[in-house]
Amino acid sequence: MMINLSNYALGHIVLALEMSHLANFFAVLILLSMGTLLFLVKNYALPKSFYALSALLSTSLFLIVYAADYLLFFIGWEVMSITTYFLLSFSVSQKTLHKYIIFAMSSALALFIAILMIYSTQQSFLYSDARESFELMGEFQGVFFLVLILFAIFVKLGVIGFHYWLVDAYEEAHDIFTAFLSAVLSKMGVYALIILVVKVTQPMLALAIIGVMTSIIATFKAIQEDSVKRVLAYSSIAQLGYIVTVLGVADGMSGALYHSLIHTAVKLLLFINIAGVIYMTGRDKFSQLGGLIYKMPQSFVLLLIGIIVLAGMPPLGGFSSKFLIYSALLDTKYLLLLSGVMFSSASAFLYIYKLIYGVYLGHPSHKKLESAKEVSLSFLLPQYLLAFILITLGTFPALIVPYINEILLESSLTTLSFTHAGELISAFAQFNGLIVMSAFGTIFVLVVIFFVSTRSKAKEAKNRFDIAYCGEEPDESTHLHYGYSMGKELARVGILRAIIKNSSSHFYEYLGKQTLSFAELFRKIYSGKLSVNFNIAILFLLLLLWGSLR
Amino acid sequence: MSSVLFVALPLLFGFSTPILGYFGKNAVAYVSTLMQLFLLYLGFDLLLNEGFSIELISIAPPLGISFVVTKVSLLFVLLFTSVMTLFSLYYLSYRSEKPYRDESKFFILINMLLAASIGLVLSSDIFNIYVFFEIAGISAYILSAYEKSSSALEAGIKYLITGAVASIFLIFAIVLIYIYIGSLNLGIIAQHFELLPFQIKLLISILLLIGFGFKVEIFPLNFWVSDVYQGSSTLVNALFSAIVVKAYLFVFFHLLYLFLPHGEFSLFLIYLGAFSMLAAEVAGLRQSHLKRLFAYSSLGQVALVFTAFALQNTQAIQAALFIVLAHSVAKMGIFFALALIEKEHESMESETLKSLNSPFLRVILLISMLSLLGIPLFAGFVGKLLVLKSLALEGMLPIIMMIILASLIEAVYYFKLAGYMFTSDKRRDVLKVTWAHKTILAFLSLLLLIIGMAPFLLSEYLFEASKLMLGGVS
Repeated sequence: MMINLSNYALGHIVLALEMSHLANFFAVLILLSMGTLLFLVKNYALPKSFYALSALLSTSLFLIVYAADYLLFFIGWEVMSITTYFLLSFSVSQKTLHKYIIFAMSSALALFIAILMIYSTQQSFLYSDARESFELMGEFQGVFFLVLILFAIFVKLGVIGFHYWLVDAYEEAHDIFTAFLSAVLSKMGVYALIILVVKVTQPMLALAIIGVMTSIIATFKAIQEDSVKRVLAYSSIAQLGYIVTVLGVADGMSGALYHSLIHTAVKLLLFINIAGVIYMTGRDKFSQLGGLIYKMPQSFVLLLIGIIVLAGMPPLGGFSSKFLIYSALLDTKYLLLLSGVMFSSASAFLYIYKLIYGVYLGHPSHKKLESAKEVSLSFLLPQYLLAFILITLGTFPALIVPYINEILLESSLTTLSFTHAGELISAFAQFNGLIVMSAFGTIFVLVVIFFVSTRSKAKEAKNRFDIAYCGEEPDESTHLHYGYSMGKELARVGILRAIIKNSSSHFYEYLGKQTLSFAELFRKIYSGKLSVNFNIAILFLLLLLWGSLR
Repeated sequence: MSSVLFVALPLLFGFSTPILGYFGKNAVAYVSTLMQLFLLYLGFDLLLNEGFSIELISIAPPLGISFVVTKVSLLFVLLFTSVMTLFSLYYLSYRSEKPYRDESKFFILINMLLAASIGLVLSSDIFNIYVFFEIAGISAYILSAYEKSSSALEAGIKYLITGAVASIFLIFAIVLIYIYIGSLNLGIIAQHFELLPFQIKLLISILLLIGFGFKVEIFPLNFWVSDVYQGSSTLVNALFSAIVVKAYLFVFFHLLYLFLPHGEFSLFLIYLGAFSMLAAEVAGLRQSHLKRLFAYSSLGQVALVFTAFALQNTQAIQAALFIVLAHSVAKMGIFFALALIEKEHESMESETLKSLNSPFLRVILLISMLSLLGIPLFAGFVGKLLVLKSLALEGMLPIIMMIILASLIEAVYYFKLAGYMFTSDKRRDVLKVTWAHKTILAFLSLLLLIIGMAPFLLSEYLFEASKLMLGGVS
């Protein structure tokens, strides 16, 4: 379905909206996030402008998704960036905010140049003409076009090297908005990548390599962070790295779409869970948390489900999407890339374990934590819903395959084969979620029964400090929680040290400094000294005369 | 109704001020405002009745005054009168607390400025253009030095010196034209200009470029602007950026299209404009004084208009007209709001925005800045999009990149201000804004939103206007 908007445009610009299956897929992701996050708002005293801006933000997101031409897409993209700025401004420090807007504006303006380039070849902004326009471009222009588009998208996705703004913004944003940033705004980058790059060009190996590098580096950066939200931010970058990787190879679309859905659901679950912890305890650092399992058992179980998905382990939904990603990489025989993704997936366990250990297990690091209570239903309900989705997708991994096939057909790509909802079939293997789930379920139940029946009746500790042994008596200044410096030891490994210690921030700070001193130079021209300025003016006149005599 | 009224009435007002002065302090102010409202009515009357005309008031050939009212000159006349009327209405509420000294003189000056700017746009005779060029200049010099402070005096003197230099170049060009063509009428000059020897054509063009270059604030000749903006009172700055520079821009390109219809120097002017924009925005990056900062942003916007006009095709001119409108409205909003802030905080350093306690003013400033930046949904975007689109059609990628880079730098310093306004907690007492001020400011911001969301309301008229401007009706 296509709606023509040319009557409301200017001077022969054709604008249109289109409702494709792909667009609907991403619209569902937006609605899912909005729907679940709406449960939370009543816990916080948010100003009215927050709701107004959120409404504007969602409008711009739908505009991005349903646009059928570059111009409307760009308008949506820019409005999204600006409203995000103001939504961040409720809680974020000035420095982070400024960092964000410089990146966001660079991204939007790079996109603007790119769409003008594509317009100049065929005088059309429509997606339907894009592929042809791209082929009509010269080789240099084509490469330049791709560089601009990829820059714009990478900034939004936070690909390593372009993530300078992202982690701070995620950490400082309002808890609800962080979830939205990770679940939805980053998906707009994925959507843009599909619409503007994958559908226009041939598969690009460079994209896949950048994706793998991103996921590996972000994974290790995540491990040594102390703030829960920062770990989740890096984890977001790493997960999006997989999506970028799989979009860089042929037939990777199915994996990318599946993983987008899973990532949206799991990040919503995790951020809501952590928002609940922060709401209850007012603490957001691993070193200040711990031992919450007895106080918040339901949250613990939900987080456990979340991290199993995040790790991409069977039997939950995370494995289904990873399965498609691995198959796509195997199919193209990029084995090094495949091993990179697997390496990063495996390394992710290190920070994933930290998430559950640092927050819920171990020993409470502060007496305040002993008085924490289970969060209210408004936090739990959306999490149960998301957990249900993730478990369902683990049990019936092919449930959404018919829908993904529609999208693939629409883009004239090879579809996945489909027998029944329980069986996900790729070119190499099949994965029957139903069998795996029942096997895991049986073992799980047996283990629980065994655990409960053999649990020793040891005496309960009276307070946090009731753990003295070897004559040592801990007090308030002793760090009782291992989460205090978990992951720090990894910095001793040579290569990891290089990843963790180096940062693109040096480059950007250097760039900023140089720009400012350059600006200082120009400001001196406008210093207000008439003698200098008239000399410049005379020079200009002489130049004009000299130029005209030649 | 005669188009001469647009020039005659404000001048007549100047002469009648001594008499009006007898009726008390308020009489001058109210009569001036009423007269401007009448001019506004006259303008809309001409627009609705399509009263486009050519009027000749012959003295003795070659001397004479001829006024041409076309769709495009009427657009500028309407813009100037509405800006001036809004200014007066705004000032009426402002003067009860902080009036200018010697108010009746002030009213003479602003009306002279209005008359001269309208005269510049309407006259189709190069000598009259010179006369109005001077009148506008002189009233602007005095206005910029109106407050008795050292920075105001500095501004006035700098403005005076550069203005004097500019008019020397202009008069020299006029003399050359008269020597070689023997007429001062623009239509006759346009017919014969092409036949002139190439060197003479070149010399006249260079002289005109330098003469007007000072006034249209183009790169190496715009050094005076930031000082003038800093020294002048904040309200008057709204007039400088919404009226004076726009009149000069129109005249310069009107002459250019008439004399050089084939766009001989178009490429050079486009590069000059784009470079000016970049230079102005880069210079603005380190600026912390609000009035200077917005002076640089004015330079940037004017340079963008310059680039668009220099492209010399109807679409680009249409874009330029869009930016002219959007910029005038946005800058009015900004300077009107800054005047209130300056009155309350007595400082124009950008840090004062941190303690600004008026959500209304913050939103007004924000909307105006977003429009200047060319963010979608605001008026500025339409103009910027159309300029870049016509540049893309000409395949001028380097220019597009220069403009986008300049916009990025602009964004950096605007959002720094936005950050000051929206993240700080150190607020002072609530800044009270009177309802009259609120109405005017809200109207301006609303206008930006309406043009931004429904540009098709204006685009047809502007397209016709740009065709006329390029066609060179004189």
